[in-house]
Amino acid sequence: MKRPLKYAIYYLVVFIFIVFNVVLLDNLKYEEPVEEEIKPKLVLISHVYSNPYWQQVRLGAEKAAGERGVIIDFQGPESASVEEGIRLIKMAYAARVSGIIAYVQDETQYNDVIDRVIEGGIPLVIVDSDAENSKRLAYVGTDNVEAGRVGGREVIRQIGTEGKVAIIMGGKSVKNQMERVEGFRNYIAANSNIVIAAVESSDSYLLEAELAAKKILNQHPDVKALFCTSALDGLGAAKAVISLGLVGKVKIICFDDLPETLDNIEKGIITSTVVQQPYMMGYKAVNIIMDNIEGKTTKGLFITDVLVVDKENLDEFRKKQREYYDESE
Amino acid sequence: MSSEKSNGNIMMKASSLRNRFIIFAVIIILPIATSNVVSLIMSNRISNIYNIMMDKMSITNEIKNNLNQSFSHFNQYILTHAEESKGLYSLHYDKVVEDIIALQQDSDIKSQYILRDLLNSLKSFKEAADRTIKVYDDRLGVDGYYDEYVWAKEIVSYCNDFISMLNDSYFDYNVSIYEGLRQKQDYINRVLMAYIAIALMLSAIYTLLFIGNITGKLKELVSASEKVVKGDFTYHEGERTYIYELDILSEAFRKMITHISKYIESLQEKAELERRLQDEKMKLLSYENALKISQLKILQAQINPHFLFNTLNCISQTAFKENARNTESLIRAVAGILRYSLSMMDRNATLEEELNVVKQYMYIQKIRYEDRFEFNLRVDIDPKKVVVPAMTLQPFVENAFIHGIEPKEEGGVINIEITEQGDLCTILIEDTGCGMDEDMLKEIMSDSPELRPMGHTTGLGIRSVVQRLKLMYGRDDIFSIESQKGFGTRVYLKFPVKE
Repeated sequence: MKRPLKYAIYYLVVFIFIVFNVVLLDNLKYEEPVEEEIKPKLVLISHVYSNPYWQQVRLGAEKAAGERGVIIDFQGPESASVEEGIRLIKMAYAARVSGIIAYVQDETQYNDVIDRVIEGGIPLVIVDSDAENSKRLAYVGTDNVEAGRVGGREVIRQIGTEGKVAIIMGGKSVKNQMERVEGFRNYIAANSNIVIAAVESSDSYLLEAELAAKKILNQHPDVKALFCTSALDGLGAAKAVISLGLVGKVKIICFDDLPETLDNIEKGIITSTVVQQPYMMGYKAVNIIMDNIEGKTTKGLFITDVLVVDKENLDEFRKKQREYYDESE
Repeated sequence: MSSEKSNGNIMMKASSLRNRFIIFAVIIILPIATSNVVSLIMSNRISNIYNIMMDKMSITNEIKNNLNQSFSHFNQYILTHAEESKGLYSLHYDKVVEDIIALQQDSDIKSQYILRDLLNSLKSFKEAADRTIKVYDDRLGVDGYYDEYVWAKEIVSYCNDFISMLNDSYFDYNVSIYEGLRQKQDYINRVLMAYIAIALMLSAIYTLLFIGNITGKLKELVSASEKVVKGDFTYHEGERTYIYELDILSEAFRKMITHISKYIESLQEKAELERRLQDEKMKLLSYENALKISQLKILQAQINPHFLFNTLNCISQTAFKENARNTESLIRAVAGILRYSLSMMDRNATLEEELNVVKQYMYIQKIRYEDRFEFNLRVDIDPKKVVVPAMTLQPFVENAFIHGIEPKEEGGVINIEITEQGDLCTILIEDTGCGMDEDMLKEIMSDSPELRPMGHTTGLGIRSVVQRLKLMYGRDDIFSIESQKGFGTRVYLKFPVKE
């Protein structure tokens, strides 16, 4: 072996060893966890924790929280529960959080606890469904009567001023559902000759919605459109229309923007949907609380608009939604 | 190549076996040591995390116990109004707060939020409980403190919720750290595997090369030794191994072989020299031997030369008194020859002395044969400076008489010519006698006593004379003879002129 080659090999071996040792030592370095400053906390209590609608509320709230220097503790029962909702509010109150954003499922049961929280000096804002007789600082959400009116206007736009329609609602005693139906009825009565042939409730269950839709279509084959006031009602109605082979013949006008709903609009099974702005609700609610904490008294109703999404503006709507998610990442 | 320089070379470039083994050990030991240290550190960390988690969870458990103790003493107080319970309620509460504050110092952010909630909830509990106790102490009745009592109880349940959340949070946090570490450990393990594999491979290659080097060199040395055993001292130093000890060994072996072969050469030279010396001695011995033989022959031939010599002197004086001049001269010549041959037998004489003897001999023959022959002598050299063995010329002249002139009726001529050609002195003895055939020549050259020609003065044959000359001068071309039947004989003697 020639000497230079031999030396080269020696150096190579030494180099390899050094590289290995450096890699190993580098991996041994202890990574100090990033010291995060502990911030004031707002609790956001949702209707149902995993509901995509509420996830959008959360995104909006977190966006605002990031801007205002607080954090959001997103909570909620796994399935809708008044008891659990109240318990979460009480818990947040006991823990003296900086603010509470809550959903009120049943106004009468919530009023006491809401008043106690406000008296305890913790700002509380209600989103999505109001308890107007409580001492809550503000309500941020859809005017459900107005949303019903928008739905009525959309139905007239789709079928004209004559004919029969049917309503599927997500619970006959649920306040926002009732308000939507009310707004719808009022608008139809004032602006057309449309007859409401039937009103069925699904209690916000998919299977029940489908069955209700089938029942209506069987009993009233001349129904031109189905107006569905909750998110899952629209999907149930869509399934019924598909299985009865009435796609395109019966229009479905529904609520909210579940991904499946949007897919069905794209396929032409659902005609259009009345969409609330949960992201805006979360965003706005946090800002109201922060304004109050910082001394600017902000109270009252903060109505977020509803949009009608149909095939024409579907892409635009999806794009905007994607932006919200991208921001949060 | 000087040995010092070559040693320096080897030292500079080659590493000793010890260094080789150190390198080998480092190649093997370093990765293993590193991997052990790294594994140790990693497992240490994992067990640390586990310990921290267990510590925190046990503190959390303590918090839970103290909280429930506090609450139960609070309950007890409301039930029994025992001051002791009130104190214990406070004491346990303080312990909980203390523990929480201690935990807050050293927790991840998520746990810190929960701890803050828990601490605030505890404070709420304390407030509610204190209010309850105050109302209870004021004995305002159960209606006054019932709501506060229920609220305090609720808060305790929330606190328990927070505590279990805290437990989960600690667990999650440490599990995530553990997961991170485990992934890191996996990665490190893979690196270590590669490291050790490469190290093993390198050491294997190193070992193979090293062993190859050693065995190659050893084989070379062994074959060289075998050659040496067979007497072949050619040793080709092969490639350098760059192993200090082996190179030194091979170098030493090479030197040893060189030295041995040189020693053997010198021994051979010496033996050759001795052999030559021996040859010289042998020559000398045979020369002396020849001399001895001639002396012996002379002694055999003459009965008491001294008596003869004295008698001749007496006769010569008597002839002088009787005035017989010729007789006197004759006797004097005979006595001269006799004296010369007696005294000069074992030493060298000058050519002049030789010529004197020849002249005396010729004088005697002249008187005897009168005009039957003619004698001519021509000398072109200073006869004093040429040294020859005594009695060299006379036998040839006598031979010319006996075999050339005597048998021939009409007689003849005897010529002696002495010439010098460079270093060589040439003596030509020529007769115009009857000449000789092959057999005669042989007969003359033989020295056997039976065939010895009759009538020689000294009894020395031609052969002995020639041999003596040859031995003296160490040459074979001293004597040559040419003869033709009926025309005569020529004898040439050539020898170097010795100063």
